[in-house]
Amino acid sequence: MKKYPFKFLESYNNKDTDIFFGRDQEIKALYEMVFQSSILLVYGASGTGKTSLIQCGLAGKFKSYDWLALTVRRGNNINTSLERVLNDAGGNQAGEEEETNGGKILTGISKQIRNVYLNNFKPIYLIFDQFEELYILGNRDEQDKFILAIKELLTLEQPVKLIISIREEYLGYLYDFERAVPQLLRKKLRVEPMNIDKVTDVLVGINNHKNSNVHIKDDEIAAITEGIFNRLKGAKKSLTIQLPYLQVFLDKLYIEITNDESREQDALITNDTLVGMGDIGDVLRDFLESQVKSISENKSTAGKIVSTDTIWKILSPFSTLEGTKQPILLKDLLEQLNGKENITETLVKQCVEEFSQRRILNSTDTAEQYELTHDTLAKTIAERRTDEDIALLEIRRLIKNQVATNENAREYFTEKQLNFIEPQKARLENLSKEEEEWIEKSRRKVASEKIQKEKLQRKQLNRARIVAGVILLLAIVAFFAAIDSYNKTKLAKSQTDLAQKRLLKTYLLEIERYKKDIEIKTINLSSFKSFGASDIADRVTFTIDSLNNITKKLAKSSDSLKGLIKEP
Amino acid sequence: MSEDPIDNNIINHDEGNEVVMHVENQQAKSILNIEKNEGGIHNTNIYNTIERKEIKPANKYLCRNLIEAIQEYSPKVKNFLEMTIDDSERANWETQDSYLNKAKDLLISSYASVLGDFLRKIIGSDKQRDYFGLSQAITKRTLQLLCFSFVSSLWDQPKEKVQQITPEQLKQLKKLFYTGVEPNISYYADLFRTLVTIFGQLQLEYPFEEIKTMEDDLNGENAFIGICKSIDAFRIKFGENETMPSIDEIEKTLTSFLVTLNFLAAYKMVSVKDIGYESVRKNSIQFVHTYSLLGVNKTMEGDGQKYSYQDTGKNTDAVLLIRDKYPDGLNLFPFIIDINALRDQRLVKICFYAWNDENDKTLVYYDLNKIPFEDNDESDVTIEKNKELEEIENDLIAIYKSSDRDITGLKANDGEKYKKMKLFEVYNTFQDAKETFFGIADS
Repeated sequence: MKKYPFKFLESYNNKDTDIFFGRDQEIKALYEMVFQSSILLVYGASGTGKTSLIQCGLAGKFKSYDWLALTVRRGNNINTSLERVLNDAGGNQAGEEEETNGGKILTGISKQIRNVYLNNFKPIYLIFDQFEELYILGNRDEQDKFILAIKELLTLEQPVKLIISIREEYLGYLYDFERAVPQLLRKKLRVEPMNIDKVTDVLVGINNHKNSNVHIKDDEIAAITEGIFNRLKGAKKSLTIQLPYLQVFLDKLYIEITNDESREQDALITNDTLVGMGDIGDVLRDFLESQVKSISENKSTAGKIVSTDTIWKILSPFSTLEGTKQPILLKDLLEQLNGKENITETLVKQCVEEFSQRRILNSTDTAEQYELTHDTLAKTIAERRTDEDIALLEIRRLIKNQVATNENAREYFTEKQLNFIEPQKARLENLSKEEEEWIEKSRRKVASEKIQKEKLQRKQLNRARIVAGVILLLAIVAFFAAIDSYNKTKLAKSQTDLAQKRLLKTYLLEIERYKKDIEIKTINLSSFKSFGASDIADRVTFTIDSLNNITKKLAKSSDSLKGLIKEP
Repeated sequence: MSEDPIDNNIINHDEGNEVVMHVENQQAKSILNIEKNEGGIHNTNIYNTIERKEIKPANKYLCRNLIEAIQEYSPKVKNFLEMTIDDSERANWETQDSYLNKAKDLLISSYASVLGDFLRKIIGSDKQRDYFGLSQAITKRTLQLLCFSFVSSLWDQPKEKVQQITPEQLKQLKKLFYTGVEPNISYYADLFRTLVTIFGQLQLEYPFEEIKTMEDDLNGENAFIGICKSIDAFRIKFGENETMPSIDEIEKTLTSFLVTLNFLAAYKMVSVKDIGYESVRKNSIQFVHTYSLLGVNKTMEGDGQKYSYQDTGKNTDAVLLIRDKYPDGLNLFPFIIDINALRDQRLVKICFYAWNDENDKTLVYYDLNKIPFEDNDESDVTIEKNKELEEIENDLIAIYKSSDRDITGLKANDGEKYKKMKLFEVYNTFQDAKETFFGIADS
């Protein structure tokens, strides 16, 4: 029976091994790593085909007795999802005796693993897909609990292997995980975007597949490959293209050739058919926009127009803030969109149905839960959001994360956060009662803290005032004391000056007295000399000279003292 | 057969047909080969009409008989049989899932060797074709394990003993070393018998002391060899007309085979990853052995690596067969290798020597996942004496001749050259074995 070889945006699984091409090297490398470590990391950019590589490429290497794959998506909580997946695989059967793991009694996840193993006797491969969701949507509690679970799993006696698939931009978030589980990054594989060689492998593989209903003109394969590659690359100077673009493009090409939506007819791809496709642009964005437009037209009636904006609004909840896909239950979607303008419950249900048929949405394992078929669609939806929409989503996440924590450990919203929430409050529909209450409690807490703060500030201000007053008073007192002291000093100085002047005058008078005295003595001595005591004449002359010198010195001193006395 | 025209279907697959036959609550004793234009049956599945699901091999017969056969070698099994099973249910305990699952688990964990892995696979298989392929693989690998153990033990004997092997016996042994394809089960069965005879003649201790209990049979009726040959006959028949025996038949013959070799439950296999050396100043010398146990259901903390202090070293990269104590293990290298150890990787990946292409100077090893009738050659390990390995050999000779014996060049770039050298050692050791037995080695 002929098979349509393109999977559009869906991942390949173990039933698609015959149409999965272009990843032989990666499959071989991953297969080898499985035998070298109990935990593997597969990472790469969004849309490079990590999930397909594991679920189809790697799975295809194993016989059924060597491969029991259990895929775990985070959902609302990775730990409960893990538990649910294990339970669904038979992990919750009651044992008749206590099981042991090297002497330890098994409980919880260990017991579940053992039960799953005893039901199957196959190595269990726990595949954690879209692991970045744990860090985008999860909180610290959840992450810590998960790490503990993994540490436990890696010590079990039963054969269990863990494969973690994560977008490479979230590798840094694995820091704490690696500290707790050092072997986490020991074996890792980067899945790279498609280069031209891999695109060639895909096309050659499809062409050589016996049951494929799509063929490529043999002698034009190289030209067609190059043509497709260059169209998808566009103006970018890149050596790679994104895989989902290739898938969507090939599907589009098929429809162009056959016009067969059921995808049953045979198609032959030639260079001419490729050229006829024209410019590609952003294949995915164009695809999504055209689908939205088509649905909008489909749902519009004469009386009521359903705008493309409305359709985008219905799609928006399926994309996270970061532009990754977010699975949602239908009832949660209806709740989120409830009350929005022009959006009724019927319209939402119809749109979800349309999206599913047009392969924009997939239903997940959980009943009535849907998600986008690919992350690249989520990115496209996220890029269409306005700043207001983004703010609203950020607020929603803030509220959700805060309230998700146990009340005993929960923190109140800060004033800054409340100021952020408040302007959007009117647009925040469908908050749960708990969320509303917590916002209100936070508001009251902030208000009460504000009042407390004000009171404290007033108290402090008063204290400051008192202190300032006291200081001022002391300053005034000190000032007057200083002036008083200055005056006293001045008075003392003037009195000192006066005393000094008096003393100087006294010296002056004394000097005058000495001068007179010396004068008299000089006269007397001169007279004495003249009376002819020749033997003492020299001595008398000497004494008279000495006295004259002293008189001169006294005169000098007298002049100095007069100068001092005169100084102001 | 159901009269519903939809129920009995011949579904056209790309390589043949699948026949879907509905039977009422029973397994078919034999499968009729129905051919259409495009080939034979590749996958015949029997569906239970009521539940419309494929009947899995239940392995009740295998579990019951084998677990009872190995109880003398496993205290846990003995305890299970004596204490866990209720007396009232003893006659057919294997019909109850709670006992059966426990028995399966015990069976798998009791064989701390490659057999444990194989038992896990066959118990976990849910397709007849896989069951058939696995039964062939278990038989062959088990016989290889026996033969390689004998050959390894013989190799360790003094030269004078080896020279006493008769030309006829040597001729049979030679095929093991000089073969362009992997020998079949019958060859290994015959080789096993020959090796037992050699050991008897040379008065050597068997690598498995329990072989003494098989001596009479091997020298007389050869019931065991007969079982091996019937298993091989299934293969031949399938090769001729793609007829598979029923699951019942496969299970019964395989059970007989494994029950006869029940003593293998007493033997462990270990891969020696590394031997370190500690001697601090005047403290006594200690060797740190890093090794991994084979088999399933062993604790995987630290990737299942174990460490122990020993007074002596051991052959590195050895795969040991141990009955009692680790240091007394029989080295099975290079007939059985751990390719992960040679590539400096954790965990264990056991490969069995398959064949040696004399002309191409190539040794080929198959890993445990290689099952007959399937195209899965990618995991084969091929060691080829090519130019690159010859260069490494020359480097090594030069290193040994030098005074400082500096191997930095080999260890550089994450030791890629060193890892290739390790593979080359496999090849060289194989040549040594050839020389020991036949006085000839590759030039």
